[in-house]
Amino acid sequence: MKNILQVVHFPQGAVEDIRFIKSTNMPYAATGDLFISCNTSDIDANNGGYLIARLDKNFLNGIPTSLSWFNVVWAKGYAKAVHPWDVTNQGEVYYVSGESHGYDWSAMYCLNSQGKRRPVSNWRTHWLKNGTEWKGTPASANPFGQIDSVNYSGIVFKITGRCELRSWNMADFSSVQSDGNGGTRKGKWPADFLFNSPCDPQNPSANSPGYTGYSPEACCPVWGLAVLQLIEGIIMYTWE
Amino acid sequence: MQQNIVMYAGNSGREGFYDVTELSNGTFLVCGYAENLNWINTSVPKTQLTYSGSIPNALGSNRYGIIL
Repeated sequence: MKNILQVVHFPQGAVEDIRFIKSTNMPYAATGDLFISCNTSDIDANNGGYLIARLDKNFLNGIPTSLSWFNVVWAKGYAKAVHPWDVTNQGEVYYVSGESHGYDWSAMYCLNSQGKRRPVSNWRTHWLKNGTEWKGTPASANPFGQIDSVNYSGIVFKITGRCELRSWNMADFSSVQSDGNGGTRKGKWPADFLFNSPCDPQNPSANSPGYTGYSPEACCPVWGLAVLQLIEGIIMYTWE
Repeated sequence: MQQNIVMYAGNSGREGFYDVTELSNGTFLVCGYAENLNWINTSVPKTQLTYSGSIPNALGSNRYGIIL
C-alpha cells in the first residue's frame, strides 16, 4: 500500500479490531455517514462481543476524530463471528445480540439515529417503559395504548417460552402458500414447519415435530441469527 | 464495474485487514487491526478516535483497531 492518506485508530487496547465499515448511501452515490463494528473481548457480564459505532465524519466532510455514539453488544457464537448488523439510509441500525445454539438469549434490536434502542411497531415483542414486556402488534396497542409507552422492541430467537417466527392462530398456522421455489409450504410464519400447532403468546408451547417431520435441534432453546442484511428497507435475515 | 486491488502493508507484527469500502471520491477505506503502527510512515497523519463512555475489552490483546 504505497499511498496511505490517513490513519484513524482507536487507542491501543480499546478494541480488538475494526471488523466492518458500512455507510448510509446506496452504491455509486455520494458517501453518507459511516458506521463501524469492532470486536471486543470481555466476560459476558461486561457485555463482551462487539460494538457498533457511528463516526463523526466520513473522510469527505472531514477526518473522523470521535465516535458520535457507540453501542456495546453482548455476543457469542454466530453473532460474535459475523456481527449481524446493517444500517439504513436514515442511519438506523438493525443488529443481533446474544448467542447461537445456547441456553441464554439472542434477539434482534433496532438503534435509532442517536444509537438508542427504539420501538419497531410491527415487531412482536416490546419492552415497555414501566419495565414489563408485552407481545403483540402494533406496538401502540400495548396495555397503555401509546407508542410512547414502549421503550424498545425486539425479535427474540428462542424456541421455548416464546412465539417468535411462529403463527399465533390456527388460520395462519394452517394457511398454504407459495414457498418461492415453485412449491408450497404450510404456515404463514417461517418456523411453523417445526411445530404441531400455532403458539399462544399468553401460554407458549413448542411441541414438535411439525408437518414436515422436522423438529428444532435437541440441545438448546436459543436459535441465534447467522446473517442480517438490509436491502432497500427490507430486513433479510437467516436464523439457524 | 468490479475492481480488484492487491495491497501489502504492515511489518513483523501482526496485522489483519477485514473490510474495504470505496468512498465517492474514489479513495478506499480499509479497516482491521495492528499490533503496532510503526510501519506507517511518519508523514501519514494519524488520528486517534475519542469517545464518551467505557468499552468493555478487559480480555483484549492490546491491539489497535485501525482504518487506513
